[in-house]
Amino acid sequence: MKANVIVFEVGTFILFIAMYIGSSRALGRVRNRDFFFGSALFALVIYSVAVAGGMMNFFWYSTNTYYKHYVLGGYIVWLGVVPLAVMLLFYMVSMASYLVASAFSSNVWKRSAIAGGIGVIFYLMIEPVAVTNHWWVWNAKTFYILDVPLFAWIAVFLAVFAFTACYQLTVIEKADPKWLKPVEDKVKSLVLKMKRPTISLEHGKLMEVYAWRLFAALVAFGVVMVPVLIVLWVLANRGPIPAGW
Amino acid sequence: MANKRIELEQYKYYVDLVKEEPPRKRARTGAVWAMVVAILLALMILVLGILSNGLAKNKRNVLEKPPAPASSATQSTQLPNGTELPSGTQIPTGQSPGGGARPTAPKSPSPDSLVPADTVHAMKAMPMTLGGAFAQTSSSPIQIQSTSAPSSSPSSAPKGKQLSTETTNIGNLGNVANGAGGKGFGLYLIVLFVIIGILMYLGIRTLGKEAKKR
Repeated sequence: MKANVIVFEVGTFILFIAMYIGSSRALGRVRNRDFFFGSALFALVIYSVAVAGGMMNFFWYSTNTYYKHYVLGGYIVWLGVVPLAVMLLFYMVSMASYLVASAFSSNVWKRSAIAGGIGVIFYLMIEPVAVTNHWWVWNAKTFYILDVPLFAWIAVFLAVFAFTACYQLTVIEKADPKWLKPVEDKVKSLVLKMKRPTISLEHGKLMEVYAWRLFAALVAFGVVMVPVLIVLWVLANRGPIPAGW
Repeated sequence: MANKRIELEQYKYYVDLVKEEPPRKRARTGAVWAMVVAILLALMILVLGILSNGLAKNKRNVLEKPPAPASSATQSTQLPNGTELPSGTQIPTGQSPGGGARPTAPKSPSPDSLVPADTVHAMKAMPMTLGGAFAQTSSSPIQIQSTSAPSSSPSSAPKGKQLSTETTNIGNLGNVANGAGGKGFGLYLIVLFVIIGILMYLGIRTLGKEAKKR
């Protein structure tokens, strides 16, 4: 019971409350709420896809009689196939990374890259402890570092980078980047039914743009990660060249 | 009326600004608070990691199945015809009392049906490291007992060579944990904790310097 999943979950909930209060002061109540929902949604989609793809799961404590050994043996709160604590953990890591990165750089890309790097350092600490205690389990047939797949480290950097860049561009700067304009103008007119620039939007409409950009960030994340996964999988599962080939 | 409307619009914008952008001092305090909580998060992970050092030393820990059902003193086996076996009575594997279905682990309340337990553990038996990749030609989930050596496609694996079920070198956490006289995992976590602490401190210091400038 030393580092049982319940200990992790309860600890995460308590720290989440403290982090939420602190970051509400730092960013403002509304902006922090946007950050929270954005990051939780971002993590939920990524983890759900990872679980559905058989790369990882959170069921170690559930696929057994743990519920007979301990009261509340596994995770308490789930959102689909992903425990809430894992999403809160992503929120805390990305928020801390974002705040520290904001102190170092004002450029959105540099800031996001620094945040991604800090996120990786956090997860370098979290992942080995998690797999040791089976808070989550990796199943992918690929290269492993410290019993965590190599692609997971890359994914952490990309996820924090993509999310913080999306948040900074949309909620804080309310910018309309030129490189996004051709696609975004079409989406705005066809789907969101708006034509005004992002900076002049009220909060409700801004959230619609935020949701669209989060979706775009997730697609971009997937576009980068899929080739990485395939290449690592192929390299790891390549056969030895038979004698006389 | 139009002027009044413009005034109200401006006022609304002002209120939004106050709500969205807190005063600098408050924002700075909040950021410092959040960074301190991040250090506490790292501390929590450090403590939990050090507590689980024993598990980390076991090279096969991450491949292990969940604990088997313990034979509780209060449990007894109920036979179909109502006859009760005394507690602790061993039923040989493969046999079932009264010819019924073989007893299985209770169904999980979680959505584990998505990934069958056997598949999970069979797949877990396959991780590889940068140091030792091997062939696995089958793309479908492979059913391998995690307690035995994994089989591989005869066309791709060299004869007589047993493929490891464990990760090797730096791929295996157990190797790191057993290093430095069994303190490897603790040292690894402490180093990362110190790095996180320094980063947070630098963040807090930068905020403090900015505040002094203003």
